Amino acid sequence: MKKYSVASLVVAMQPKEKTLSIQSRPYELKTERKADIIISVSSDSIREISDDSNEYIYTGAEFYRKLLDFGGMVLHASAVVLDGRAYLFSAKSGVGKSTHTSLWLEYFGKRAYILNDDKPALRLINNRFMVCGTPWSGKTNNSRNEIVPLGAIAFIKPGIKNVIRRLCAEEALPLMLSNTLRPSDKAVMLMTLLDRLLCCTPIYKLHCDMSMEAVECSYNGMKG
Amino acid sequence: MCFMTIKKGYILKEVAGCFVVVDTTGCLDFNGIIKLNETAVVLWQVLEKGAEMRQLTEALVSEYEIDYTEAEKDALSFVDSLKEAGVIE
Repeated sequence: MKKYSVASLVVAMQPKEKTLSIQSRPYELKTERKADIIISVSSDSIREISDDSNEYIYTGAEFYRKLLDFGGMVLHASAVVLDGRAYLFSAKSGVGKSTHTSLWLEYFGKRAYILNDDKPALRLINNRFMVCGTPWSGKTNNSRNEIVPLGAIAFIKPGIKNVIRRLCAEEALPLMLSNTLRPSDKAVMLMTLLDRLLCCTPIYKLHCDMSMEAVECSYNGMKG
Repeated sequence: MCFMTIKKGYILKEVAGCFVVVDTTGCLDFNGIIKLNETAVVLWQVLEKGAEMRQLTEALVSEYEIDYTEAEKDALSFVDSLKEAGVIE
């Protein structure tokens, strides 16, 4: 199996199809180290339904499930980096996560870039929450093999006006849960991680349209 | 009154100051969480060890110094909602 470095972990898997092959390339690692996470799903084992997107979906699900054993979790979000901090915009598919972060790129130019456009990993590394690029970044292959300190998280709702509001833990918890994987057998690990995350991370609800004013609103609210 | 206990797989966790119960009885993903208020947490912790109505009521009486009848009413209504949700046996 090939080895990769993802979220500071050694991950072993054998991509064959296009999407996973492309998205995993920046994470390739030459190492003798034992893999922390072995992804056993292969396109052979899902042959009867095998295609590019199945390999992508099943390997991603296995990685993020096993990531919980290492104090990490996935958030369904588009992660944009500005001035060395990662800002995560989360929502259900089709709401406009990627649209909003692409507006950030337009607004900030070279200061900003996309770390992962769909499923960044959040991992507690040396007592600090870090956002990690992964080989699973959605439709756009838009991800970087980098690990960046978490700035803030916002849950997006489409709106006519641009408004941002900080959420209390009680409001943020159900939103975090509905935008991550929730394997029953790892529920306690997930809740323990969320306990740490919600205590130290500013989390917001952002109502926004698709204008530059929306970027100013979210940036001013989240920059801290 | 019969002996009641929380079914295996329902886990009480404190997350950033909120008390929530996670249902991990399913074999795949868990779905909702149940939020518990302060009184419910007291009752839940007694029920985890297994208890009858009398012990639940006494737990509320000693925790909140309310009278027995009122405590019994509160405990009963919580137990009923847990029964309805299928959380106790």
